[in-house]
Amino acid sequence: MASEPAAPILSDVMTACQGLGRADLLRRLRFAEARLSRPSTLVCVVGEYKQGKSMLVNALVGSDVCPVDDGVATVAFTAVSVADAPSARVRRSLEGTSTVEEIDLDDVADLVSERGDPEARTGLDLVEIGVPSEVLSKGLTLVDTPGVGGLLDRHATATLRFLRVADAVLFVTDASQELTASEVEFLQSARDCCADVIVAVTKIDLYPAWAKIVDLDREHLDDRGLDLDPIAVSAATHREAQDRRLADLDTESGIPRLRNHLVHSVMEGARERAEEHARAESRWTVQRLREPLLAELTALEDPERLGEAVERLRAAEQRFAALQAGGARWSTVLNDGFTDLRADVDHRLRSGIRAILAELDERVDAADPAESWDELHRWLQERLVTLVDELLASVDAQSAAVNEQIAALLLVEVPPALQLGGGPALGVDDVWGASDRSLKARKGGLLASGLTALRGGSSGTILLGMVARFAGIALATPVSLGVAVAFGVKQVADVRQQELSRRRQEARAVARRFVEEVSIEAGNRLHRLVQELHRGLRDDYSTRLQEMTRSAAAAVAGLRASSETDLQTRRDRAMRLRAWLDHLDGLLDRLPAEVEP
Amino acid sequence: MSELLDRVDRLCEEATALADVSASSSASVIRDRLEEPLRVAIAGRVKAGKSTLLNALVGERLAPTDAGECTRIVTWYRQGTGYEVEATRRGGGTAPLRFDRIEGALAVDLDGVDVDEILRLTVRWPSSRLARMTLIDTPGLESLDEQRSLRTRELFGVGTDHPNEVDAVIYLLRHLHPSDQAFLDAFLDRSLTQPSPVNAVAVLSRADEIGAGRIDALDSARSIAARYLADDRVRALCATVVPVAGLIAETGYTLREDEVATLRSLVTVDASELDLLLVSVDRFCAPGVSPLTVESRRDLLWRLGLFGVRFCLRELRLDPTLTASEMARRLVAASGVEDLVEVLDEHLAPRADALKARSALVALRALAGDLAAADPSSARELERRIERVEAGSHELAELRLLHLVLTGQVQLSDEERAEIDHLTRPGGATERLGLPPDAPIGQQQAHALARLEHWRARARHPLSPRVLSDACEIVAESYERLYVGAGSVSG
Repeated sequence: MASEPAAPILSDVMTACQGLGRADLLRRLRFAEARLSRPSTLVCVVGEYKQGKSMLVNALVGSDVCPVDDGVATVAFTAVSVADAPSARVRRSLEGTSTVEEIDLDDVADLVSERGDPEARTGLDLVEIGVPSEVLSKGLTLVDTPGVGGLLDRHATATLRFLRVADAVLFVTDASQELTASEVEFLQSARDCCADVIVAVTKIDLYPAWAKIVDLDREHLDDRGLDLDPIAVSAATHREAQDRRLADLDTESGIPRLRNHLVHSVMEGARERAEEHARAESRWTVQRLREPLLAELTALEDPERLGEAVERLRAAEQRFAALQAGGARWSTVLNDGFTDLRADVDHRLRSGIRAILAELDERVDAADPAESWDELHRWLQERLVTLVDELLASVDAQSAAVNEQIAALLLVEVPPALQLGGGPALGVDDVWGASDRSLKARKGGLLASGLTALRGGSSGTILLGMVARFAGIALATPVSLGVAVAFGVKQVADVRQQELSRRRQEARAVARRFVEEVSIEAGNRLHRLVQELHRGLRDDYSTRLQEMTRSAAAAVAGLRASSETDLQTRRDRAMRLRAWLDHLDGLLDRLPAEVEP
Repeated sequence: MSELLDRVDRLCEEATALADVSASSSASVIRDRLEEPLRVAIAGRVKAGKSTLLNALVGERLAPTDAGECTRIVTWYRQGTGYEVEATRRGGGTAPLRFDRIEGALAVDLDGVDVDEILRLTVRWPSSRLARMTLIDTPGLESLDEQRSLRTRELFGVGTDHPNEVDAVIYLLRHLHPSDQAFLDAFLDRSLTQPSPVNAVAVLSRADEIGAGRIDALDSARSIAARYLADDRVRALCATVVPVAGLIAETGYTLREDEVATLRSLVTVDASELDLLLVSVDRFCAPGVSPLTVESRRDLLWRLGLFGVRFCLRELRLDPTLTASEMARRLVAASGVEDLVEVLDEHLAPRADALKARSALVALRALAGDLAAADPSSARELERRIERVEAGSHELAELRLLHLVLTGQVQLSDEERAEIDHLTRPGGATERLGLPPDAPIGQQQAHALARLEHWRARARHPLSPRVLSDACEIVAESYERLYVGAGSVSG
């Protein structure tokens, strides 16, 4: 749908707010404005070990933010976004609490690479790096991820989870060889999680046959129905081109082409979402501005009904006040919804763990743990990761359902009192329903849709942080959960000489302890996620209700003031109000609500 | 033939007598294996550089290599008196095949036979290296063509009914990858009769590409290999990790005079221009920049890679009089292939007999298993005899010991680990005892006795876990044999 760009309208709406003395409505608009100027776009850079992911991120960003080393691989998720000055911070989850800690940029290398002390990575969810960069200033966030191997690999599972909140996936494979079975398998899953997948073939400076490899890759992708066109790049050539200031060499590096692709076509979706968000917020705000003006004008034009109008507005004000109070129905629905959600998560986690333990017993009894231990270990880990993944998806879907329920409820409960005279009906669903409509086209629920309230808080990385915490579970297992020793093969190997029953007993004990640790940790993290979603929703609805209350209060004040003045002043006032309303109606005309498909 | 091999040989003979016709032919196959050189397979993921490494080890370009995935069939390279290639069909039976050589590499004419019908190709070639070990080139694991990966798994007996056909493996890794680990795990059979990092050597392959082809790429590769080796998980899987730039070695062994002449004319190009030529492969082959044709530059890249070209040009700049043979020598030396040969000679070759005996015993055990249904009493008898040979062989016990120590199932200090590695290495008594070669018999005996007592005490310590006690007993027995051996020399 071709509509007017949102930015100039947004700016006009902000001017109107100021002119009408409603600075309280500006906060939200400013955020929408910021999002417009920098539509947050999350691009996950994924690929197998040592394919040149970090180096590619550095080349795209134009600065050496990710540590690059011949032999050392990245082992932590690292989000790179724009900042005025280089900075770094670390998000961790430790014993049920989240921490954010500023760190020195020089310490990043050890933290995110396998060279560093594994202890330092305890509870590590995400490293965030801020850096001045032209490309990033447009709103791009690049997430450098640990290399993934086969699909059953824990890193891969964690990475896939990230992809659910990503706007695009940049898959990195080098030109030394054609795509392997596990790479293609991963690409297929990535495609299911994220609509926009880009394949970059790196290190083309080094391999004479890179063009042939790119062709082979294209064929393999075609064979599997993946309609992806690989982009050949060389971060090394790009660097040489920068050093020598050779534009043609830079073109050969393929980096400008990839960067363009990211900035233009990948960011297009994010830009559209930001536009739609800005329009929805503008519509909401114009309504809040119109209400008191319209009420006052109606009263001015028909003084007999003045008293009645004041009464109705008072009633509306009280109604809003009541809606903000703790016992309001929407608030009960919200609290009950999340209480149920919490109980449901607990229940499913418990029964999931019970099922795993039961199957564990069967498996231990069916074979000699001395022989089957490795397989058992792998199976157990996979089952646990899958369980946590399912629970996460369920929290996502259920919280989205609660949100919809509240939106529907408020649509009924918010009094039509302010609708004095004609004019468009007050649309609660305008913001609560429609603003996320464009997002619903994306896969997943509340998390994936990037609920405005959550994504809007301060930056997109809040959402990233939440997901990182769960990626953490898969990655951390079992080292940072403190069961590494117990889960080592050695212990079981030692008992090889003992009797079978004894071996089984020991294997069962070790495995059970591991399951227990994971279930406690996963339970904690899920609870925290539920809590954050709960709070995010509550804050969003409360703020909006406050804004509506102020509109009602402003209307009452306006009516009082005009009732106390003489006829001429009232006429002047009515004229000004009409002029304002014409202006606002003009704004609304420029803001067509998106039609439900 | 060693005493152990003799005993296994006799066991095969007995098995032939015990078993029915089909089993007895299997037994004679097992027996034939004892006479052969050690079978060493070169395995790894797709495009890890297996064929290139095989060529480097033989010192001749034989296995075809290409940018795309290339090796489709398991190919055995054996010592031969003449040059021949034959195909072994899945159903049994072999047929000679015609072949050509294109730029050295074998181009085998399968004569219309479907690739899936062929169990393996066997190339017989006169080569001193092949006289010492049979090398087996394998299709890559993780291939998009699952059939190819399956053929390699078959060879190793992973996840199939086929017995393992190889005695040792050179495993190529580019960077440690989960599928590498999973494969090696599977290869290293867990049954106690088959100890393992003992017979696996890892190669960090395509080492010249690791540091983006920079001139210090091989230093980088060496430090990475060292870091891998410091990791217990890696040490539990392979004896050591050697960085090798297979392409550099292969080209080093086959470098031609005209190639060096081409390199020489490149050195004359203006320094800043040459510098820009070496930025990327595209620049190097860009038309109209240097006195050389695009084709000759492209050929150079195929043969040497960007690292190799950079390396040769540096050598030529430092010493413009360098001869082609000296350049070849330097390439081979830089490639690291000699280090690998040294590891093979020191680590695998001396234990060849024990490794072969072990493979044969595993195969015989499988045969006894097959026999069990038809003829339970003969099967039981065969198993009893296998056990007797296994239990009676101190060489096998030492392999088992080494396995326990190397995999970290028995935890020892680094010094103790080194002591056991020395002790279990076939060689002279002084060497094994860690004494100077001219140490007098008396000193040897005293030392052996002291260590014997130390290890026996450790074995009998009431708090030692069972597995540690067993290991200490084996160490003690090795010293006891050395003690007795030294005595018999003096007596």
